[in-house]
Amino acid sequence: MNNLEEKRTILIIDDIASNIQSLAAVLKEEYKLKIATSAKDAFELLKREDGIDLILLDIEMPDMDGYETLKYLQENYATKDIPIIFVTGYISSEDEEKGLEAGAVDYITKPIHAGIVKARVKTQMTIKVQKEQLRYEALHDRLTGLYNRYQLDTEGERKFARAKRHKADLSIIMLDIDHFKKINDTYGHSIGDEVLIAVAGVLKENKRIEDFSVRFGGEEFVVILEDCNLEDAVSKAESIRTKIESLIPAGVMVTSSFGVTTLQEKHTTLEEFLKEADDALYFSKEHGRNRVSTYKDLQK
Amino acid sequence: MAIVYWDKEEALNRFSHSDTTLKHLVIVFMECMPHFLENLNISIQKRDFHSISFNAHSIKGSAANIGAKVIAEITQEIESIAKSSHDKIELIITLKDRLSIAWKETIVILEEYINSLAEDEELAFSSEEFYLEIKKIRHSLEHGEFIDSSTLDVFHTKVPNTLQKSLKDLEFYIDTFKTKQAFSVIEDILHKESN
Repeated sequence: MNNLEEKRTILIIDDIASNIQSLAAVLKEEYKLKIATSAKDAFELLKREDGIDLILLDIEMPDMDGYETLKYLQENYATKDIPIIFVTGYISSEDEEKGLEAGAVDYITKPIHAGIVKARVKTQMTIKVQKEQLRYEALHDRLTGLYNRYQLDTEGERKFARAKRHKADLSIIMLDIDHFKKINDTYGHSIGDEVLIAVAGVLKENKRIEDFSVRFGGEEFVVILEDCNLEDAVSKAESIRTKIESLIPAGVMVTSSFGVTTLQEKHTTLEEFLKEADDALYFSKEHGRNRVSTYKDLQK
Repeated sequence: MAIVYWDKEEALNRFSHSDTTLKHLVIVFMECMPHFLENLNISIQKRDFHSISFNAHSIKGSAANIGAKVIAEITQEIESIAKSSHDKIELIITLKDRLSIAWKETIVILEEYINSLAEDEELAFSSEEFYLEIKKIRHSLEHGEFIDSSTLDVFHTKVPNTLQKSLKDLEFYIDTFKTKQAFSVIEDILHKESN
């Protein structure tokens, strides 16, 4: 998610320099601006640069006009969620209807009026920011900021299917804070929350970009590691275990138990794959806690 | 009643009464117009009605943007004629001649406006600052960012004669978003620095 305090970025696509200049003059104080003078330039720029929040798109352009450009952007996975405002000299209501039906979020007519441009852009930017916030909240655990169970179901499934398809390595670490109920009962829930936040902090710090950490349940967490075999997953779990052990959040000594497993031919669902990690975690709990076990350990 | 070639008040109203903004837009318009007119002439010579309509539309938009009313009206007419029929080239040529006259009248008024706002501030700067600014611009160009060419204004009267033309070219290419050409001028300028 973009930092909410940061200046937002607008891409202006127009083939006429003076049109770009007039929009830029109105918007340059409040936004970062990127410029493309044709649809082709815009596609190239969107491939190189991310973080475009809003597009102002001219309709009348040579080669590829605004309607086609909008269609292309909306069909492209990377750009489909960027709101597009048409800026155009076509001022009939039929034109406006056509533009809005094509999927533009708003319609600004030329010659532009500074106040109107600012207000309409601001409205769309506010909606964009709110959408991002809602999306963030829908996918993350509020307390720890890790992904939530819902996102594990969707993104986890995607990672599982992808690894199966490409026969790639995929491992799971499941961990559970030892005697968490006792921590809550002894020190109170707010200390309990601090412990959860601190443990989540270790998972965040130790994350490669391809790792995916989830708050699975109350004091239970799952890390999905792409392109990672069992051996590496175990050493990763071991490193997380020692870090948690030395953490002592809010002055409380905390340990965690770990279960690790890796993807094999036999797994057909994410659920059974997760179940193996859970079984290995249970094995750790049964064998003294504060340790890492693999699903293989159960079979010995 | 005298013909109003330029409705300055209307334009200022749309741009929050900012002379700074309007002046910049007028300069860009004046830089672009010769190219627009040339393109329109070529498309008329070729009897390419699609291209005539497109070029007229471009001029109309740019002119309306700064409130250059007569130019906008004439080009609006050319655009709709070129769109609706393909046998009125004589009429289009007549309108194009009127457009040339209107442009000559308008340019005088616009230049007067620009000159009335001319700044004679003498800001001191070092050549390091100049080259730093040029490098910043290069970085922005690489990322497709919008560049406000007015940041170069302070260097105008101060750079050595050998750089005057390059600087002017650079501003033009920045204002008209001709990225490749702007890059090549920057390379030139920086090459001079390293010598």
